[in-house]
Amino acid sequence: MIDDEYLEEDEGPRQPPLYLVTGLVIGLGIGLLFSLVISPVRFVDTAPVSLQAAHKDSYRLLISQAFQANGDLLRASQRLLLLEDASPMDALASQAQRRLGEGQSEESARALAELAAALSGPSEGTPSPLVVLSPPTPAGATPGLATPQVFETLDLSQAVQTATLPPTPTPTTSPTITPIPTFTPRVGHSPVPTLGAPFVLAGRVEICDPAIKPGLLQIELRDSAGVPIPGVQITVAWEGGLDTFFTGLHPASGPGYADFSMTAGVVYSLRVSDISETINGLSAPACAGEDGRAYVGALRLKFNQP
Amino acid sequence: MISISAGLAAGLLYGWVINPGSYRDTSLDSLRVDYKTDLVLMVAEIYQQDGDVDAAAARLAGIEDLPILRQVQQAILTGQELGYARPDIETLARLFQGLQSWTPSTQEAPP
Repeated sequence: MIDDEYLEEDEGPRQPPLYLVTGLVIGLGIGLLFSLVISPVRFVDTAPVSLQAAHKDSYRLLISQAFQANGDLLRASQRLLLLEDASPMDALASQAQRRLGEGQSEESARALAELAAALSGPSEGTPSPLVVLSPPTPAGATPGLATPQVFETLDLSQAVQTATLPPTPTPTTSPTITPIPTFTPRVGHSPVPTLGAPFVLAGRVEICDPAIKPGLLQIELRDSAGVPIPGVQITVAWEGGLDTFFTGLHPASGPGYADFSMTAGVVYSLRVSDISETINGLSAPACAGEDGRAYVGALRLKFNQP
Repeated sequence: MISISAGLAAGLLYGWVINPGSYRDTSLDSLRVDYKTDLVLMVAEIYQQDGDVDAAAARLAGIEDLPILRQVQQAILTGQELGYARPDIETLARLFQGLQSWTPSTQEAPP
């Protein structure tokens, strides 16, 4: 009996100090609430690459609209590089498609599509400025714009200057004249769609190729000189549906290219821009394979301006 | 009190140091001043072409919470500091002039 009483008295102080644990939990809760909800860490002096996807979209749209305004492709491509998209052209094209899909302004989708098409640049036979500006810079390349810009510090003296080329001394033949900085030369306006004449259907080809996506409607637009035209709105309508898209959203297929997925058995109408004739009775062709098996083919339409 | 303080310190350490949120999900107003200046210049370039001061004001409002005139002022100063070309400074100045005579109206965010 005496031993039992002795043991109970001895075990008393070994009980876990519950009030300490309770205090710790309360403090932890308050600390987490404050540091994660009430006053979370706020990042400052960040770079565009760290933006949320929605803000990157806003940034990209501003770049596109500024490009529409000033036609300065070099400047637009420099700005796009700041976002570090894996493929700026694809990012622009997919954003344009998203905006159309969400029923947002067609003007903004057109701006994005035009910049995507301008960056693809095959119609001019010149490499994309993105290619020119992408690191690594070839040996012996002219320093300045062609030099990849690295932003490693937060010092203003090393800040990014996407708006202008660094001032360069004016070449002079006279040693007595002090070189003065020149203003940044602006790149000329890139071609943007001018929808003068209506487009005329110049070719309609049914494609039976199992390698092509079934029901794919491919559209190609060219002007009177045979140059592909990006940023032209195309409207496809069918019973109970309507879709709008633009040429140039698939830069890899050319700036004048657009496509649409048709459903087998559905009849579609298509119109290029608002001033061209509506093409009716379009549907995915029925094809037969070598083994006699039926499959859905693709359709290619070519439009020209007279 | 000691245990509460220890818990508080641990909570703050976790939220501010160990897991301070993602650096990849920042907003436009957290951008460094030179990037913001370039954004304001984009707005000015668009304004120069379309002359739509309402849309320009709405675009600026989407960049940060500062008063829009102050944003453009700040952009002009930073642009000068960074050596922007004269046409760019003039473009910013034109936007500033346009906004000076602008009175906020019922406006929608531009596309």
